Amino acid sequence: MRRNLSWMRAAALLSACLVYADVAGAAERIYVLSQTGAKLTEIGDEAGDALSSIALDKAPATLALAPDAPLAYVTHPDLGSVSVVDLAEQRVLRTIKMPGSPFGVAVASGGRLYVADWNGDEISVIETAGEKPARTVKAGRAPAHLLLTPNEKLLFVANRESNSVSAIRTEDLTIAATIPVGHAPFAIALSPDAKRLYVGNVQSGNVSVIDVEQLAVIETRKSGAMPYGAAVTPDGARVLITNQQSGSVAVLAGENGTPSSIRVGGYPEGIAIRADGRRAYVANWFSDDVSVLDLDSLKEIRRIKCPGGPRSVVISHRKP
Amino acid sequence: MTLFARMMGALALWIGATAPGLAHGPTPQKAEEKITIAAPPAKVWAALKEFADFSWNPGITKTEATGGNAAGATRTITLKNGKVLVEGLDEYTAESMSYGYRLSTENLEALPVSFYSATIAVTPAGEGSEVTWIGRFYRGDTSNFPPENLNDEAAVKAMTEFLQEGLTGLKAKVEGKS
Repeated sequence: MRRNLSWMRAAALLSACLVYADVAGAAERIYVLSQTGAKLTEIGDEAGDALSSIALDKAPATLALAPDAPLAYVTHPDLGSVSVVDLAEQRVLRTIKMPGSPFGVAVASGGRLYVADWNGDEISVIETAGEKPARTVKAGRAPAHLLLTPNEKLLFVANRESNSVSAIRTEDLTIAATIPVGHAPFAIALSPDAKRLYVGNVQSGNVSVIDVEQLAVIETRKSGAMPYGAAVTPDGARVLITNQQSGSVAVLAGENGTPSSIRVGGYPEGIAIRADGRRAYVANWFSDDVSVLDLDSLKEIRRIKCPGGPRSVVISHRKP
Repeated sequence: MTLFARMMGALALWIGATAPGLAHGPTPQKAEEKITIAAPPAKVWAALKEFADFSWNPGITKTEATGGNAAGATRTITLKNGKVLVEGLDEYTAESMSYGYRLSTENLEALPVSFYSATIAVTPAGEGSEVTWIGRFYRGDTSNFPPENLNDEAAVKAMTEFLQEGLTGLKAKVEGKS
């Protein structure tokens, strides 16, 4: 059970990219967040289309699922707010007012929320369950996606405009390391064993591989034009990167070599992989649909239409 | 708060609003324009396939480029309004008759967008061709309180008009009407 719990946390805490495994019997649910359409939509796998949508405030950007509650936290950079969405009741429970332009979000057990302020260059830490005042931690410039390790001890921040990743100790909110990476890091994903952090660098078209123990880059791999999303298969063997400018997903496997490429829709961004490692779902921001990828044949097998401007896909196994 | 502090605060806000830098904001906008051209795709592609040659676009008065059609090539383009933008080539696929590029150096006086990437592609359409030009971009001022001339609507309008003018010019050139 301990192992399952840490998996649950790992999965729920990734925002644009979510890897999930090892939860026998739990039903997975796939959620797509659409920015222009301002909706959180559950999509079905077999039915091949959108099942139901929850209406949100204007221009939601990213989301994180709570590890211990059927809740999604959705950021609205233009409004300076976070919507707390009850996935079971399919409605917005409340709206948390935030400083600046909240973008990336991560949530720990017990409801501790981390939110990146894109224009204010800091991370807000909010205890949603209590009355404690919010605290802040300085990040690099334009903090984008956030990610917690499965044990919730470290928070990673992709600092898009300072070409670095911050590692923040969650215990005392001090900086463990500021790791230089490629040009314009945006999406981040952890390997299932939490030993490697993969960082997609938008402007340099590559992926920095960080050793989580050393907190240092140990390898840089070519991905393709404008990586905007990242996910790792449950066996840790393959890293999937969405290349926005080429409308494709690069599959990085093994030590080296040229990644194989899967054609998807227009300007793909968020990507998530099922627990069995056989299907991946890609949010195509420009073409307003989700590509369903078969990871055995490395082919796109289906497109699912969704509300305008889908940016994030997450998979939950909770029964809402 | 002292008057000085208030003034400095106002100054900081003003600087923030007028000089956002090459900021990629959190909420991208999209534009998509298409045009049908009465010519085979190969002929249309021949007119626009050189990244360095923007002569088909009446919105551009001058292009200086390096690097040919290889990823990483750059072009410095002068718009009709006399302002200059620098673009970099990301992907070029002659087989699918398309290429994608991005803004390298922004200039809000040229176009009120703080960053963009775009793809242009030629596809067969009946007897002729269709050219699709899409752009993904951010408003000129990516703060939450942009002035009217640098907000989302201004960015979408400017980008849409820019694409439309280019495609109309391409059609006129290929169909021999310019």
